[in-house]
Formats: sequence, structure tokens, C-alpha cells
Amino acid sequence: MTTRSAQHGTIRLERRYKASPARVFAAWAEPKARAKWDVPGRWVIAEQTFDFREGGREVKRFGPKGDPRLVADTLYLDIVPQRRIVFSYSMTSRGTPISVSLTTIELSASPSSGENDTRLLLTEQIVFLDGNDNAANREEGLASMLDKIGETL
Amino acid sequence: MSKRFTKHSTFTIERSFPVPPARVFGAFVDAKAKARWFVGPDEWEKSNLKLDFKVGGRESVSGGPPGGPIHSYNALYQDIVPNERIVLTYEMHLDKTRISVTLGTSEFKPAGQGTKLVYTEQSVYLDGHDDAGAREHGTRALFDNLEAALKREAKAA
Repeated sequence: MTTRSAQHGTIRLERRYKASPARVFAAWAEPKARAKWDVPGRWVIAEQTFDFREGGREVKRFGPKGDPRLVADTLYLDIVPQRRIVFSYSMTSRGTPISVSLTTIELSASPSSGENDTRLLLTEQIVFLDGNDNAANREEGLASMLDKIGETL
Repeated sequence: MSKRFTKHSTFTIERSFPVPPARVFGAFVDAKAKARWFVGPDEWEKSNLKLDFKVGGRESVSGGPPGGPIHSYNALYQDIVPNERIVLTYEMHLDKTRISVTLGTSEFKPAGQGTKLVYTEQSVYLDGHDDAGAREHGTRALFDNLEAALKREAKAA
């Protein structure tokens, strides 16, 4: 029998990108731009639907090459173009619950350096379920994806 | 350009009930049972609660003071373990304005003959609407309602 547990945490990450808020926003809003970074490290995306709008649902199956066992089920809740994206996602591995997250992405043009300098704040409020993941591991994955956004820009 | 900002916060509420987890969990699983306690103040006008209790299922209810703004709750069920756990996300609107988005975890733990319910709410409040103090106060009132509903049920049995 599975021992049930729920560990709550909050991850905060900040990045500066040499690009306008519109271009950083497009990394989420444009399917082609999103496909370039939406998985940590060398992992692969096996399947991904795209429905970027308030109320939109997306499903992504991903994981290590040869074993894309993870499924993220996303609901977009609040979208302010070029400024803010709030979404929730659950993560499962072959049906086993791993976590549920509420993620806030905030973009702002850096006032001192002009248009092509965007500050991104990511706040992910998470509950990890039944010990199937942890905050350190998740933070590493999120940091990897934010770094990839910087590379693609 | 309107001001855009957010506030993130977390609170936890623990309650003990003298009935087993299955009974407490039962108050969450269908619209009829949940509508007995998941309601605003008595004087509020309210809609019928709609509830599709399954992972991926939705829940909605709205209400507000007569002549005042309508508070709308819309939830999505993210994880369900019968008699043990419910994880959902919900958004709140005040009339047409989205004021917050929340990740809520309810854990139902056996405690002797009874149940300890641990509810953890992780929220983002949008553009200065609402705040964690008011939300926690309102959520505690809902759990007071739940306690009263379970007592009525025990008496009727």
C-alpha cells in the first residue's frame, strides 16, 4: 500500500533576458518557440498539445529519451499579454501522482536598460505527492528550462 | 496601463472531527453533501453548486450579498485518493474580475475513532484583490459549517 504524503513548497526563480517582454512572452504563446525549451535538460517531448488561452488545457508527455513516462496536464488560468501567465499543472508517471503546481510567470521591462532587457520571475507553488518528487529536483528542472529560454532568445 | 502585481501566500487549517475519514470525505464528494456546508454567509444570494467529483472534473458555485458583487468559484480536481486526499485548483472572480488562483490540498487522516483534516491553501492574489487574511477567515468559516453539518448528520443517524 502506498504511504500517502503531501509536501508543500514554493520555488522562486529570477532571470534577466536580453530581449523584449513581447519576445519572452512568445516563448510560451508561440508553439514553435515553446517546443525549443519546454522540457528539462536532454529530456524529450513525445507528445504535446497546444492551447494557450485562459481556460485552455494542454497535455505533454515527456521524459528521458526512450522512456517518456511523465505526463503534465496544464490549465491556463490567467494571461495578461507580455506581463503575466498563471497556470496549474498536475504531473503523473504512468498514472501515479507526482505533484500539482500553481505557477506564476511575471515579465517586466527593466526600467534602466531599455526594451531589450526583460526580468522574469517564476513562482511555483507545489504540492509533492507520496514522496514522488522533491523541491530541489523540481527547481533544477525549472532552472534548466529558463536557461534554455535564454539560449533560444 | 493598469497596475499588475501579485502576492503569493500559504496557510494551513487543521480540524478534528469525531467521525471516521470516510464520513468526512463523504461531505466533499457530491454536490448535495457539499452544498450543506460549502456556502457563504446566510444573507447571501447563491447559485446551485455544480460538482463533477473526478480527476479532471469541475466544480462551480457563485453568490454574494444582495446588490453586491458576485463571488464566483471555479475549480478543477487534480488528484483524488478516496477517503485520504483531494487536490484541486480554483479561481475566484469578483463579478468579471479574476482576483486569485489557488492550489488547495485536503488531507483526511485517521485520528483514533475520528479524523484530522489538514487543509493547505497556496494562492496567488492578483493585482491587489483579496488578501490571505480575508481568505483564511472565510475558509475557517466554511470548516465551521462542515463541523456543524457533520454534527447534524450524526444526530439524524
